Amino acid sequence: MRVLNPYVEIVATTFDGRLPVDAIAFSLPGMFAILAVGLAGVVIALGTALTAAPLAWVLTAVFLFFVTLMR
Amino acid sequence: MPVKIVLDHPRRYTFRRLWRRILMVMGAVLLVVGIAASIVAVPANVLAAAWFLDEDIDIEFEPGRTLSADEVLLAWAVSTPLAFFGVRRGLRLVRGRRSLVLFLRRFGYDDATSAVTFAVTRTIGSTWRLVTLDDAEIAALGVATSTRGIFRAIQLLSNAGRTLIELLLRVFPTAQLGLWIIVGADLVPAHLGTCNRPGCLDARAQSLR
Repeated sequence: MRVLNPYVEIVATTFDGRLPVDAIAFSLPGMFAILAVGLAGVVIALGTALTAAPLAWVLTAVFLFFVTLMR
Repeated sequence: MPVKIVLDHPRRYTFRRLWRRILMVMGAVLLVVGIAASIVAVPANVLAAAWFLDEDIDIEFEPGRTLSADEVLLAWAVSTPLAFFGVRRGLRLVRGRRSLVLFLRRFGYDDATSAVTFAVTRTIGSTWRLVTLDDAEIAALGVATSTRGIFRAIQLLSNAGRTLIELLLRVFPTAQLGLWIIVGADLVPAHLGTCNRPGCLDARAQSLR
């Protein structure tokens, strides 16, 4: 359906690693693009946070181990 | 059993205290070397394990500059024992040999507790570890304000991180739902024939044909 074309383009652009900023407008596909940009930001932030969490946990454990032993 | 009470000891143990400082500095240096070696030792151990499994572990940083398997194994052979020895011996030298004192106190006898607290915080230094019976009137001493600050900061950071992850996990499905609602809001008028957007008009023309 051609109605879905702008949405498919926005999704394809986002999955391509580019933010669909050009599609932002005062229309339903424009709002879809705004939400897609927001969702991409959420995915990036979640990925960063979930990668950093175990790394921070290990580093903190090592750090606290040394701090505790040196007291 | 005769008891001799010494209020002010005549000897200052200057050389012993100096030697203790020297050992502490040596331990700190050894500890830093050990930690630095452990940074190399972790990937070197992985590469050494791969080498034992007959994998090619030559690493090419840039054209013409390669870290050969021999160099990797040399780094592994040097860094691993140095990491273990440096951290273990360094920590032992920094901490020194701590002697244990058992303080058997009577509950409610605050003067004795105050005297021991004064000794722990002011006079006997960190080479003694005092152990006593636990109740609400006595608290653990010896944790510096900076250490408490570090623990507090780590707690705050971990709480902030957890809150952020929980927030993002809540926003994600909501945003997804929003996307579906928008698509639905566009599909329904197109299906009913009330949409005036070019895409909708084309779809209606196609359906009429």
